[in-house]
Amino acid sequence: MSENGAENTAYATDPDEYRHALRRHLATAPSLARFRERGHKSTEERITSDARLMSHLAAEGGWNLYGWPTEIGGLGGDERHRGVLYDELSRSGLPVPEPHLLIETLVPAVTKFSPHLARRHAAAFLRGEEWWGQCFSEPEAGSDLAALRTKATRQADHYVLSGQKLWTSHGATATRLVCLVRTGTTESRHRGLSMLMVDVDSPGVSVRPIALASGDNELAEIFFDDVIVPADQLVGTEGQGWAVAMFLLQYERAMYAWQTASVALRRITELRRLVGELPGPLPDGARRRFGACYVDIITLRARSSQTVRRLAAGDTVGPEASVDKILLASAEQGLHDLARDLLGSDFLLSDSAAVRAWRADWWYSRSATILGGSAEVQRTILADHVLELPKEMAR
Amino acid sequence: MTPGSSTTSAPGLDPELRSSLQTSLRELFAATPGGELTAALDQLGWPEVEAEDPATAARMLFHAHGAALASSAVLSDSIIRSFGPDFPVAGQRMSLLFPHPSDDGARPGSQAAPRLRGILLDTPPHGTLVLVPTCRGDRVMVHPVDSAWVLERSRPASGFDASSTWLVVDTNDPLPESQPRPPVAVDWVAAVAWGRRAIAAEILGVCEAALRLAADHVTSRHQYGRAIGSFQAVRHRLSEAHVAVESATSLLDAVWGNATDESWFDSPPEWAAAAAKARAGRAQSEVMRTGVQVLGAMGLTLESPMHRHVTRAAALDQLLGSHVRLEESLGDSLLAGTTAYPIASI
Ligand SMILES: Cc1cc2nc3c(=O)[nH]c(=O)nc-3n(C[C@H](O)[C@H](O)[C@H](O)COP(=O)(O)OP(=O)(O)OC[C@H]3O[C@@H](n4cnc5c(N)ncnc54)[C@H](O)[C@@H]3O)c2cc1C
Repeated sequence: MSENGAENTAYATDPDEYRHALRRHLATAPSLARFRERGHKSTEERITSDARLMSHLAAEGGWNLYGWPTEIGGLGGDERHRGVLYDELSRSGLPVPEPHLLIETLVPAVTKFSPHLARRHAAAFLRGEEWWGQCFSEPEAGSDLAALRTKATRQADHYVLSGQKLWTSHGATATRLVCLVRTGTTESRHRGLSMLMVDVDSPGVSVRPIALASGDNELAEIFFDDVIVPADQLVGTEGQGWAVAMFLLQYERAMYAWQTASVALRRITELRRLVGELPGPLPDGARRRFGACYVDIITLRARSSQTVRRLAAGDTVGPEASVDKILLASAEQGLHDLARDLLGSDFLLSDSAAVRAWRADWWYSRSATILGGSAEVQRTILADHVLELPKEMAR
Repeated sequence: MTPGSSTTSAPGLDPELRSSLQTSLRELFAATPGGELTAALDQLGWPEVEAEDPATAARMLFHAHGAALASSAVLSDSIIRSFGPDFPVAGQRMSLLFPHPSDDGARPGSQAAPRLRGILLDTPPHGTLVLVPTCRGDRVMVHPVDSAWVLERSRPASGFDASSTWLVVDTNDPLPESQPRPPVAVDWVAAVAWGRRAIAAEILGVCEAALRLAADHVTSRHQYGRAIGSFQAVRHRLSEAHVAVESATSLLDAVWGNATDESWFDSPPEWAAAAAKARAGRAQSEVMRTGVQVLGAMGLTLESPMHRHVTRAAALDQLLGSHVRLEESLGDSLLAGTTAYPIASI
């Protein structure tokens, strides 16, 4: 951060300046080479290595701190800067660090609804020194989130938290959890919810890793057994949980779509190289599918860059973000199905690090139609709020 | 679902002016027969709008043309205008012979047999010229040919799209020896890119109209004592169709932007135009399949106007490269090592 203090302000106000400088940095800094290794790593290795990349970028020019307000340890700028960061990392063959998935989901909401918590903790998250998990889903509350039952009871200056969360991304290694919990009655549905930030090392929190079918511990199940949470760790006010969750979903959908689009453009190029090394002709229809898959990826880029610009302009992104989410899923799953089909028997049998990564990613790509609201839930949102079709009856 | 609802701010025309122009275009297309559209657009002052902001003007014009299911030579006029002012001489009416969908549109007249074929969007008036493109190497020349000669070798192209004014020209005759004017070299790559962007906008206009028709139908039609639009299977199909249209529109917006913004040199405009037309072409196949399905029997009969959307969209998909062919040729280029251009960026 030190050598170019004067330029920093120019980058914060001008995403294009920032883009060019960042592109130059990523292309020329030899210290980044070690983060470019390809191939499969376990979830724990990957997140640790990604976090190191974040610390490195933060220390060598603060490149990953643009797009965030200075009050929480950022260097100023807006969503466009973050979009540029993900795109330029991908363009230069670097990963979009895993913790950024949850940074995008959680930090805007915590910053808006509880600035004191963001001031206290966000800087470490941005610098890769710690990472957080999002605890919304429960065994009985998946698509129907408002059915959740994990309960927080107010006692003097703290809450007592009990219950169980499921499918927490990065849950096995995260140190802080942002939890949607019930502070009202179960019948109060979405009105009786609150958002709490919980430290994982609080007594009564236990974590069990959950592996995807690829064997990677992407998820976790988290149990809360009378955990004491200070009341000042509320995100927003008591009862405001649903509003916080809805605000957060805009970012979860929009920024995740853009991250996916950036990475997919790099991955389709890598797939081309890998397929070029295979002996024998391509299967029937491969040429057209390759073209169609590329078109889907750039379509996602076109759509989601518009949405990111809208967020940067301060617009509220409403139900139309479901278009981005559906597109994201078809581009992501289309790419990985294409890889699976083009790699053919290698997809099943090869031991190469590159193919092992495609295999694990293929399983992860299946989540694109599930997490953050399933494809069916998104279609229902569009039918209700955008197309304004007659409502479904029983709900 | 209002036309152009998802466009981001375009330079030149402000949103208020754009929405009033959209209304004027809608009214004009509703009231004017195809043959009189060029004159009517002149009267509306369209050439000035186009001069102000060519990309936004073209996008709006062809979107409205599609939504109204208009059939006319407006696209031919627009491509000829893109060759430059007073091309090749001021005041002369001309039409363009579009490459036949079965030929390589990038290399007109390059097919092995000495066969001249192509599509005219409307019957050219007597005594006017038809521009016939042919290529020699990478250079494309257009030959001005008397319309009577071309008309003698044409027939209506109404096989599938019965309401279109298109003609198919197909002959083994060589071009007439003496032509009214010498052939002129043109920037065919740019012309095809312009045409593909315009047709993509037109296809999306047809799609939006079809989707509106379908949404209205499922809202008013009742079965089992409820509107069929309350059945999740029906709702979800229409949502997917909406996604297809919205996303193709976003891509087209980016592609128009990138064709007019000189500072954005990351992606070649002709590559981007092919991608946008491919995506719009695929959108029409998705929207029309759903549009016909949710109308029940009515969807495939003359009782509903749905069929006209289906056939028009299919015809437009073929013009200057179907989505099937474009996807395949983009795939070929990518597999051969062409950069996966980003097209859109933050
Ligand atoms: C990789 C991954 C990471 C995740 N990360 C997190 C995380 O970090 N934090 C977190 O809180 N959660 C996370 N989740 C959980 C995710 O949010 C839920 O899986 C999701 O909300 C769906 O819930 P469910 O799995 O219980 O499925 P269910 O709700 O049981 O749905 C099962 C199927 O039924 C369909 N369905 C359900 N309701 C309807 C309806 N009304 N109409 C039509 N179809 C319907 C669904 O579309 C789906 O196909 C993650 C999930 C995955 C796969």
